[in-house]
Amino acid sequence: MSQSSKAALAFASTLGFHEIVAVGFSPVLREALARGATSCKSVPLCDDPLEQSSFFPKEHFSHILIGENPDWVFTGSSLAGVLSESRKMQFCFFKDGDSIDFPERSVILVKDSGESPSTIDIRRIKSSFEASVNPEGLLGNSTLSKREVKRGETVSGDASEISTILARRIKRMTGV
Amino acid sequence: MIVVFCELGGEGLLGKAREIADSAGSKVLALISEESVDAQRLIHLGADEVLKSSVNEMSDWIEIISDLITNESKLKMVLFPSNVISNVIMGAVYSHVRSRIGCYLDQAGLVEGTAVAKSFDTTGFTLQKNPRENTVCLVSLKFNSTPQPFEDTSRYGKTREIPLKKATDVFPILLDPPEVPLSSSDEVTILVGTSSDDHITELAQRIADKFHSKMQKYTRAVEVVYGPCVAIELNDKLRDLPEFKGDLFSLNTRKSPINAISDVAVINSEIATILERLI
Repeated sequence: MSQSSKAALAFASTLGFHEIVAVGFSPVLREALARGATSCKSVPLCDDPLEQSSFFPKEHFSHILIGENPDWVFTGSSLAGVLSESRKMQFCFFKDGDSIDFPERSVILVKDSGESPSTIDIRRIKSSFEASVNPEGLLGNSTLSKREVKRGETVSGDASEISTILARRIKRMTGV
Repeated sequence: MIVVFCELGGEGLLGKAREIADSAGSKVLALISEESVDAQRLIHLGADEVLKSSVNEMSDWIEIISDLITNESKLKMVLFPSNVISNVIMGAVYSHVRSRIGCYLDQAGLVEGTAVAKSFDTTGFTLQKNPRENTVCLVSLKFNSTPQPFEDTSRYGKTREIPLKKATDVFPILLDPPEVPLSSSDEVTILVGTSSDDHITELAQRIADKFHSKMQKYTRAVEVVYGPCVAIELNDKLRDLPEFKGDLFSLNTRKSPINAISDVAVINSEIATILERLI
């Protein structure tokens, strides 16, 4: 399970809902149940957010929580946009420290701080293995190719030269 | 025709759009709100035409961009700056006018006339999508993957107002606080090792403040760093380090395991002086 999905699930568990449905690719759903989901729905793994959203359960949800997943084929923010528009739900963004007073019928994108979320609840492992999870396939038409291996460089020089190089690189990354 | 969403830092994509348009013999349209940056500047940066609209909230853009996609038959691509809100708008536009969209990619690192692509550093592969004929490609481009556009004051173009049709069925984008949130992959992290003294930590914090970045003291709880990272005095074994998904710059006073995985490694005894100069 991706770090961002763990973060979203951990956050969902803190909100006090009676029912948390984990929607995802079948291999991660038992872990989702052990992490606090009350039921699960397996869907194919797609390379396109619109196609992915078409497999979401059609029933009414008060909130849909999505992990940020900035390192996936499409980000959680794209999927949040698709789901918000197709289901006419408000979009909210949550990061640590924000208010958790979300409007009814909202899609909530949960920022992933990269820090480890709460661990698996061992009391839930047995029931997670008893759950029925349908295997689903992979869908998409993207082309994948091996990327060129990046080679690291070691910068030497005096403090002034090194700080100039670093400042230039940081400015480029941040735009400041 | 290429439309560039010039809100939220998107004017930085005009150079790339100009390059693609020139090779295809097409035009660049810049999209901005009334209160936003100077329209003339966008023309100097590469736009042939600037479209201004009096939007009240972020979600108004969904209707405006969807209308453009529906009505402009020559439109081939809409370029967005990759960030949380742009990607949400882009996803919503995709859902709104799905039949016209032939290719969708967020956080792209490469846009060429015939293909868009993004790379995954840790898994070592590149994902490519190819636009289909007579459809529109929606792409959000990472800020640091394209050079800043060149401002040429001899360029000329025109400005046009586009009316805002208030849609009744478009959802609101609620932001509290109302600032545009950074995606974790765009946020620069200054990660300070546990062996660093208070002076280094304070300098790291000042650098983070200067560059609007996040300063974090390294603990084992940090499992992933998605964006670019400047790691200061992280001397842990490789297996104890977090997973670095973006560019990694390491600064150490002695050779350390992190140097082997760094894009740029600095080994220098004057770390404090280097940091002071950065401020």
